[in-house]
This record gives sequence, C-alpha cells and structure tokens, in this order.
Amino acid sequence: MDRVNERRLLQQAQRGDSDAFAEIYRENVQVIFRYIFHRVNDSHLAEDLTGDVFTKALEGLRDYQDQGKPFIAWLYRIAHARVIDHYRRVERRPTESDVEDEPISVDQDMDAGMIRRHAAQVLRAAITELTDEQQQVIILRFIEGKRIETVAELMGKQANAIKALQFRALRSLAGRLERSGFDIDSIIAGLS
Amino acid sequence: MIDYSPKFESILDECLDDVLRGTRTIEQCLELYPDYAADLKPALQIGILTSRLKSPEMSAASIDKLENRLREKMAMNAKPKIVRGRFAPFAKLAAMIAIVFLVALGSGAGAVAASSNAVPGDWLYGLKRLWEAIILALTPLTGQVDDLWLQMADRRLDEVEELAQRGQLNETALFDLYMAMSQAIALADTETKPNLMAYLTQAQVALISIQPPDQEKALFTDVMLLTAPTIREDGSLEAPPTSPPSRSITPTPTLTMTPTMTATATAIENQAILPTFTATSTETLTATNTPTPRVPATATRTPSPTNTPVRPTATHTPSPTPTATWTPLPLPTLPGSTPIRQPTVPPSSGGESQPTNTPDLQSTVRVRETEMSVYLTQTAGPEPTEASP
Repeated sequence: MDRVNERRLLQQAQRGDSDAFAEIYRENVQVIFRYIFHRVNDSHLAEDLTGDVFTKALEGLRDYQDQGKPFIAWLYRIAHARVIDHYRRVERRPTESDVEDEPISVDQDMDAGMIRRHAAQVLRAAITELTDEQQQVIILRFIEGKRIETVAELMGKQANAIKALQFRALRSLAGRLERSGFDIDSIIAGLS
Repeated sequence: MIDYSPKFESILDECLDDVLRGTRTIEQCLELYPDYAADLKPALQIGILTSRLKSPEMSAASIDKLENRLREKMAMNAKPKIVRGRFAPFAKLAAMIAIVFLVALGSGAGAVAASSNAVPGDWLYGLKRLWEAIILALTPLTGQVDDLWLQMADRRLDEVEELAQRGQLNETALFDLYMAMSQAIALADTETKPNLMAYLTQAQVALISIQPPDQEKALFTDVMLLTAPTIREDGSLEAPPTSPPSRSITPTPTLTMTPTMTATATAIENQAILPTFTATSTETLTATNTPTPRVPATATRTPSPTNTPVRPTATHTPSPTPTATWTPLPLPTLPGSTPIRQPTVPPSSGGESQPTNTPDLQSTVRVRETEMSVYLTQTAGPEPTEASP
C-alpha cells in the first residue's frame, strides 16, 4: 500500500469508516503477528497480543497524527509496548535456562533436516533473549527483509545506530548457536 | 583483533544486503574484505539462517474474527453518547468548581448537608443549587430524571413556603418552582404520575394558603395553573400553556383581603373567620369577616352541585400547624360578570367530602379546577373593597 492510499484510508478511518480501518488492518495484521510471534515465540499468545495491538490502535486512532512515517511504524511501537507489558505482567522473560532445558543439543545421529529444525528452534529462542532493540532490528531486518534505512525509520533511530545493533545481535546469536554445539558451516551448506 | 568500528558495521551491512539478495555469496564477501573475514563469516551465516526462519501466519479465521471484533468496536464508538441534558456542557466545570469549593470549605459533605435547608438569599443556597446541578447533570446516566425533577419541584415548593413565611417570597423562587414543576410534569411517566399528582395536590393546598407579593401575583398565578395539568386522552399530563411564565410584569389589581384558604396564627381560639364577598355591579368585591364556629380541623371540600357560583370560606384554627377548611358556599351572581366555573363532583351525602392521601385522579382534578377558578377569580378581579368585619 502506497503512502498516499494509506493516508487516505487513515483519514477515513479516523472519521469512523470501519471499511477503511479494516483495509488497514488486513494490510498489516500478518506483519504485526510475525513481529510479535518472534518476540514471544508462541503463536497463540502472538494472536492474542496482535488483537490487543489493533484494539489499542483503534482506540488511539482519533489521536493519531501522521508524522511522515508509515502507519506500520506506529503499529510496531504499539506491538513493542504490548510485548513488554506482557512480560511485565507474567513477571518473567524467556531465560537462558528455558532454552537450555530444551533438547536442542546436536546429536551425531541427526540428519541434516533435523539439525536445521533444531537450529531454528535454538535460534528462535535465542532471538527472544536479545535486548528489545536488538530483537526489533533482527525481526525487521531479517524476518521482514527490510533495508537498514527502513529499519532506522521504523525505529526512529539513525542508520549507524541500527548497524551497530545489528552487528551485536548477530554476534550474540552466533555465539548462542556455537555454544549449543551446532556446526553452522554444515547447516549453511545444507540450505537449498 | 576485531574492529567494531562503524566502518566494519557498514561493511557487514553491505555484505548482508548482497548475500540476502543473492548478488554475492558469503565467500565472495570474505574475499572482498579479508581483514574482516573472521568476524564477517559468522555474522553473515547467522543473518542467512535468521532470514530463512519460517514464520507462522495468523489463520484466516483468526483474522476474520479479530476484524469483526474491531468493526463491532467501531460501531459502538460511533453510537451517539447519552444526552446528558442541558447541564451537560457545564457538568465537568461544575464538578471542578464544586470540588474546589468543598475543599475550600474544609468540610465538603457537611456543607452540602447543611445547605439542604437553605432558601434563596441564604449564603449556602448557591451550594445547594450547584450540588443539584451536578446531580442533574449526572442523573441521566441512571435514567431517573423524572424522579429527580419531582424532587427538585418539591424542594422549590418548600423554599417558596419558607420564604412566604418569612415574608420574603420573590420572583426568583417562584420562577424556579415554575420551571421545576414544568419539568416534572413534562417528564412524568406512568410510574411517576401517581407521585406527581400527589405532589401537585399538596402544592395546590400549600400555595393556595400563600399570599404572594403584589408584583409577583401574575407569576404566582402561572405556578398555580401548573398544579392543575391537563390530562390527555392517553393519560399523560400536559402543563397549561402558560410558558414562558410571567415575570416582572405589572401586577394585576387583586384582592388584598384574602378570601382564600389562608390560615394564620392570629385566629381566635375556637373561632374561624369566614370571609364573605359581596359583588357589586362595578365588579368590586366586599370582604366581610364573620366569625363562625370552629369546624373540625380537617381539610374538607364541599363541591356545589348547582350552577351557581361558589365562594370559598376559610376556617382559621389556633393549632400550631394551621389547617384550613374550605366549604364553597353559594355566591350571589355577579351582575355583568362571568359566573365562576362549577365543580362537577357530586356532593357527598354529608355535604362534605373528606380528602384522602391518594385522591381519585378525576375528582382531584375537578376539585382542583374549582379551586383554581376561585383563585383566579380572586386574583384577576378588580381592586376589591374590604368591608369591616
């Protein structure tokens, strides 16, 4: 959806046009769901929190002001806040011990596919252990495939700051996989 | 040693772009930047692995369900808000003022309670009305506006009675009573109507014993008219078409010697004053006070079955709470004048009817019409001449 069309729909939605809001919702719901899923690593919880995000967005729609950023940036901020709020309510976040309790060690008898699935499991868990900003960068940059400038715009930061966050996040994830005994070269080589 | 400079971070980002887009392989990037190869390699590998992570999709059913929920929420938000009445725009301001005022007083609840008996002119009366305005602004939310206006009308009646006793009855108090009564009548429903009729009967009896200042008699007449609302075919009430009430108009010459149900403490024990009136061709009335034996201290109404005009008689008792007996008697026809309307209530066997707390609606209205006719005749007539007792 281009910015002009998005702005038009937003204005209509702010005037109470439910069809316009529904169109905006459908345009963004999967993106927000994916973002939340990779933050909480639980699809049911992600659905609930996605519902919360759009409900909050609807409640705040009248006060929303277009500041030149895409609407999804506002939704990301709401989603980010909802995830943090969720972890505050449950008074915990995924911890290193949670991940290590899982049977993720690489077994010599595993075939390549199984190893990749385990690696993916470890990687997902490891993402949730990153700092909030690092998680945002990893999800937007690699899950959503956005360029660094776009990530910077969505997060309201300078591109250089995002590059630094990106590097620290990748280094942290690589260390996590290595500590779990994965041979990253072989996993990469096995990717089609 | 790894170089964590912005330069390295930019090289990493450039290589990530290339690898993710497939324009270069990891090996090509490492060859391009051999000095950073040791650090580039794991970062690029993790970047590729992360980009290959599968993401679940939210199910279509969940998306539809959430959309419906959002549409319902939008529809609810679009519904018009509850109309809060004419005080609504000022409710927040009034509440803020009230809070500040009450805090300033230091004993807010006590002040409000103390103001409950205040009448116009008292220093707490403003607080009483402010509190009422807040209650009125909030009551529509509970849907009991009709009850509240009836209470307001009752309060205004108490204030008018209190001021009349002090000899301070004024236009503002009468006007407020008129407005509250109008609202109570207009908003009365089936449930409220019995209470309203009882109130109006009480108000009529109370008002008829009040002698308003000359300059307020026109407004007082309007208030009296409100105590006898028209009953529509569907049973609902309709206030007489007197709105807006008369205010600040030249008073109509009226009787100063009250031939009404006025009861005062000056009555002689065991005696009652029976005003009698003599009409002349010039339409002046002559009031004559004739002591009569005391009658039982109960309010009685004896409607006349004939077409001849009736006149009221007032009985004064020495009791602390004056009670009145009203026994309409035949009046001589006023030459050249319109005969007074007659009540249509049939006479009781004893010649007197004993009112009850829950009067029959029709008879109440008829009796009220008679009272009103007498009242209007007395107040709208020419300047009377008071005769010696």
